[in-house]
Amino acid sequence: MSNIEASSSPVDPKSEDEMDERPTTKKRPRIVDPDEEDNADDAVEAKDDEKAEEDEGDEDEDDDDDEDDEEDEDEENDGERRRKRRRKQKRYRFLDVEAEVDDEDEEEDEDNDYGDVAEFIDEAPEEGAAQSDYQHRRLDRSFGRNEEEDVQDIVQRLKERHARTAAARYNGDSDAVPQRLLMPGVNDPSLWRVYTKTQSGREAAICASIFRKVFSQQYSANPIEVISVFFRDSLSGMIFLEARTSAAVSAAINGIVGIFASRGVSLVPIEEMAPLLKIKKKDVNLIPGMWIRMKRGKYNGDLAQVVDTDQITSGVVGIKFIPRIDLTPREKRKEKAANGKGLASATKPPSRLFSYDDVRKIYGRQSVRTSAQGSFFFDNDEYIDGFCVKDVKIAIIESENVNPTLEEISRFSGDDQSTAKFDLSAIADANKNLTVSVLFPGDQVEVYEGEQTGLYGSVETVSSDVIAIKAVGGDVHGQTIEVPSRSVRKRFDVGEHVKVLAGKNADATGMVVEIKGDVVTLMSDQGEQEIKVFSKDIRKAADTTNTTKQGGLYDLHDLVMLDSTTAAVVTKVEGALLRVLDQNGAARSVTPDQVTIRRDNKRFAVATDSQGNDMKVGDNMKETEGESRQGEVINIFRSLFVFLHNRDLTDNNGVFVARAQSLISVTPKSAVSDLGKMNPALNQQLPYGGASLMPPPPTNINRNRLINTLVVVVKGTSKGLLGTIRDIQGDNARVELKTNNKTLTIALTSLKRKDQKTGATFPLEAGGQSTFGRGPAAGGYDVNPYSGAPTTGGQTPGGFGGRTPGARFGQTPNPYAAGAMGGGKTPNPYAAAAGAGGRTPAPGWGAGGKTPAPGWGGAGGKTPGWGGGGGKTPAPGFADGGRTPGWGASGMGGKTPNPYGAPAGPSGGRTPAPQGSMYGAGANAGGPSYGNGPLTAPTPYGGPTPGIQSAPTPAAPSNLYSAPTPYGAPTPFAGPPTYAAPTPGGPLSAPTPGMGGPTPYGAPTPFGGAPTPYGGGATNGGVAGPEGIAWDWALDFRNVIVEVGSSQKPNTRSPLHFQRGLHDGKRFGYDTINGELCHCISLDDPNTIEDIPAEYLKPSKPDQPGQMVVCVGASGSQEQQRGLQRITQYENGGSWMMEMDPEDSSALVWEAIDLCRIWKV
Amino acid sequence: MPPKGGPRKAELRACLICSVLQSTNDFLTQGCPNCEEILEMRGSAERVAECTSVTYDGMIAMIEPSESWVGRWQRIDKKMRGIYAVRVTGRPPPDVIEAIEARGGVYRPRDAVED
Repeated sequence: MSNIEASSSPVDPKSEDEMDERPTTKKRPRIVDPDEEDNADDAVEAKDDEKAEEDEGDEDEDDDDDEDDEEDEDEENDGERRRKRRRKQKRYRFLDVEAEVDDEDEEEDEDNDYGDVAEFIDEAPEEGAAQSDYQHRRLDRSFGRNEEEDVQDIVQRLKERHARTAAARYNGDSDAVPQRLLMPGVNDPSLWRVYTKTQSGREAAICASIFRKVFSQQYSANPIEVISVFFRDSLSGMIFLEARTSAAVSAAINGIVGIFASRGVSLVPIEEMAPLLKIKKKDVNLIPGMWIRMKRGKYNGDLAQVVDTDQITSGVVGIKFIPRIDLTPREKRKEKAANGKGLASATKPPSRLFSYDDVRKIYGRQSVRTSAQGSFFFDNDEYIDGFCVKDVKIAIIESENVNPTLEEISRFSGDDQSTAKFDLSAIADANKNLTVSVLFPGDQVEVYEGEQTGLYGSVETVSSDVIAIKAVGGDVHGQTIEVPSRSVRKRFDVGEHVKVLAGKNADATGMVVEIKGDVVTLMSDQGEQEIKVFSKDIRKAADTTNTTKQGGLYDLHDLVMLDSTTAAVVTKVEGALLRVLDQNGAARSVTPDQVTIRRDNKRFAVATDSQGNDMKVGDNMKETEGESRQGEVINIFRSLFVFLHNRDLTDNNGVFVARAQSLISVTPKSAVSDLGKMNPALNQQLPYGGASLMPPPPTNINRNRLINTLVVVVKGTSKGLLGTIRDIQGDNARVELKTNNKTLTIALTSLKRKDQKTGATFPLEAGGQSTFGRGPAAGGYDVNPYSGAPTTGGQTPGGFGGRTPGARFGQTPNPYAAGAMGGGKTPNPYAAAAGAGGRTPAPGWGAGGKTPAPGWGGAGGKTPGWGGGGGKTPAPGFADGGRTPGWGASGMGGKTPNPYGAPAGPSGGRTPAPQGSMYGAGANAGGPSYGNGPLTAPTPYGGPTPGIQSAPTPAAPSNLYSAPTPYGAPTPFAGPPTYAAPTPGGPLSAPTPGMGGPTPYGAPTPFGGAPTPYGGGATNGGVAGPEGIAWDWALDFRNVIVEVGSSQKPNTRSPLHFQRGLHDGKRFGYDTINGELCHCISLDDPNTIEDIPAEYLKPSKPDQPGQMVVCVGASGSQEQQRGLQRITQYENGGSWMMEMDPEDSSALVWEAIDLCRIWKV
Repeated sequence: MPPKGGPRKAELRACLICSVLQSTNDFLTQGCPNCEEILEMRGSAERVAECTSVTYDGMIAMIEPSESWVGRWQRIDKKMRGIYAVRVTGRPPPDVIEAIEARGGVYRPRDAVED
């Protein structure tokens, strides 16, 4: 455009030659023209006017609609506008005339159309080289013309057509010019940027307003010289005006609502003009077969496939997807609706292929229509092959970053999912979304489509859609070639080590074992399983990853259960595989569905270490044996198995498992926190010291039973009022009064129980007893299911102590009761066990005698709780009327140091440790105490020799009675699997209480490895002593060496151990008999002289050749040889070969157990 | 008067050849002001649907097409003044393209980036 013309703007350059015949200077093509042309055909001016009037009316309406924009105009310029319109109308007439002229003189007009421009362009070159664009255009156009074979023909045809339709002529003229020739030049109008106030789609309205404003003023005295106005959707908040001066822009935007006028008008640099119009909204380019995701509704996020784009111009695309039809039975849905849960709020129905039968069942036959093509119509949607095929608006689908997974695609590719083979074409389609973001310089790629198909190379540079590849091989080897990024895929070789970048296997590494198109199969480094991934999702990796995925159901170091008794800790999470270390130290790989997660007990789990200290999760512990590994406790299972973690260890990622009892705290604990102290019941007893744990029973527990009892206040201000106990606080009760619903705190002594039916009142406590004292055992269990009978006894001494505990126990069908009964009858619990052999508890006892005993012993040694429990058991006996006060005092309290406080070394070893025997004694005492009650006989211990009690039996009895005690202990044995059975006796009556490896019995306790001296005895039954000889053998012999041990006498009423085991295992020389007692002199210390009952004495077996022995055996063929004296020659497998005696016909071979060394000949 | 933008934008359709924006009804009753000769949409809703698109981007209010660089760039400098889209998604039916080429023109998709 020429500068001259620009300065005289409103004048259209091409109208120069028509100026004479037109009163107005304007001749511009207008949208409204067709209307007018139609009218012009009629050539009726009046009608034309009418029409114009109508238009005007329309305009007014429009203006009303758009008051925002044009209010000011309406107000200020109304009259003026009317005038203008009038004028316009006249002008329309002229335009109409012109249209007629067009029709009449098509060719000329066309020539003129071109000619105008041509003239204009002809002028242009004179004005400067900047107009060269126009030359090009003209050249192109003239080429086009020359090439036209028969212009006249076409013109003729056009003429005819125009005469017929009067349709707008198509002018494809400018389309031929390449766009690069259309770049703006210095003579072109400038673009001005104007900001809008609102950024939410008002731009279009503002553009239209400016358009209207400019349009309406174009014939005024001051036309606004704005050439065009536009905005881009992607550049919200601004519009652009094309004008030669900023003054025109200011005039155009002046008064337009929504313009951010104060931000001013800024010029767009010439080089930015084209990009403004070039900006492309990320192209939606939907192609049938491509994958998309849905954005809204219940299908939000679901994968879908484009099936047709026929109606793309209507903004609609046909897709298919797997439907989510709510197949909830109708009744249930009604229910839900009734519950206030609308269907809308309900969760998404699962996505599954349409099944006619299923839908018909739920929605009824009439709801589904079948079409001829075998598709179904349901709820206005069409279903083909199970998929829903639907036309949706483009706005509700997402075509970028779809990233369909293999699983999703495979669901599309086949009805039968199990056998669904990956449709390679589908996968290729999925990979069309390969964006440059997954390509990095250096990646090996392969071009799989386009001209360069088959080209290999490494990526050099990556730009938005094009990547440069340095080709490898072929003609172009070494050259850098640009290819569209979408037509390449990453290339891998079998054997390459790669890392997965995305998808559910993200971060996994592995070796490529197979490549099939876009699908690469890896052998994972972690789980050693095959993983199929898209090649776009992997890249070459040098390292194996050690990262574990977080956020799954199972995290590192979670405690999981492999089965009901086996716990394990997750040592590594490898994608879908868990690497676990179980409690037995075995590491294995499991899938998450093979394990169950264990309730997180990290905050509560406590275990006792080898020193009796408690340990918790997070403590630093060290093994006392084995490898002396050290680590931080990460989990404790059943207080026995402690899982530790030490990152320095390599095995199992630093996780190892240890027994609680073999651990010791790394940091010495300043205050030894005894588990026993954590037991409130035990705390009450501790002041009484060690064995004589006989405190007044804590009653507060049972007092809770008073809650909800109806009471009447008998003292104080509320006297006479009825109420219900709501809470017990020490000696007070919170009583909710019936009268005014108030809750008062009233001393228990001021309350009396009121019988609801009779209205009679009873003392609170007595009444309370009556409610639960009936079965104290049961009551006890309620309070503490593990505490067993002894605890019950301890807690309720008065209530039933005077009566017959034996009977009471007899009432309760519970093994302890049986045990107690046995104890009651036969003071020797060991014998009781043996005697009970034939009866039900027998297996338990028997087994107890064999293996579990050490377990108990060991556990007992270390578990104060156990001892505490044991200590408690005598309580009822004592309270039992004080019949045996002396017993407790002397036997338990007095003589023995507090065994419970003393840490029992795990080294109890073969011989029962003193501690062990103390526990035995404690337990023993507990046992007889039950026995005492029913018999109401003076106890054997009470009077005579408390010392005697302590001698023998280390383990077996403790097994009997200490069995309950672990239950009483706070935690160590509270492991539910064993003891949670309703009847605590359960485990005991079970064949072996130490069932399964995990239970305490299996633990390597001090006694575990050692042969139990009584093991044989238990199996032998009651007649013979456990050693296979009669318990009173010693009465028949003199001057032999004896060993002190537990009582061998069946059904003995004596304590199991002589002097609670003081001399156990020691050798004595036995010279004379003193009544029933044997006069023994210690071999170690001749000053120690004791009179020991024969039942505690065992023959001292020969231990080396050349010893004088006497046969004391009573078993087998050696019956007749009893009393024979020989000298041992050599030992073989428990039998001794004797030196030949002249009497002998042959060398005698005796069992070692039948022999006793001779002290003095 | 030009059609209004704003809330009514959704009802506008863009001609796939010249990208002019009009309401469906206008296309139906008057056809495309520029291309009616080859599109022949007047009176045929079906033809309107296939030759115009609702998916377009941006809007240009073209007041002086012949003078405008914007118009030249958009190749609407020989078209009527009016409202145009910057970009129109969709392709016209093949016969339209043929008709254009038969006239020696070049069909340039309105949704593609040139050069």
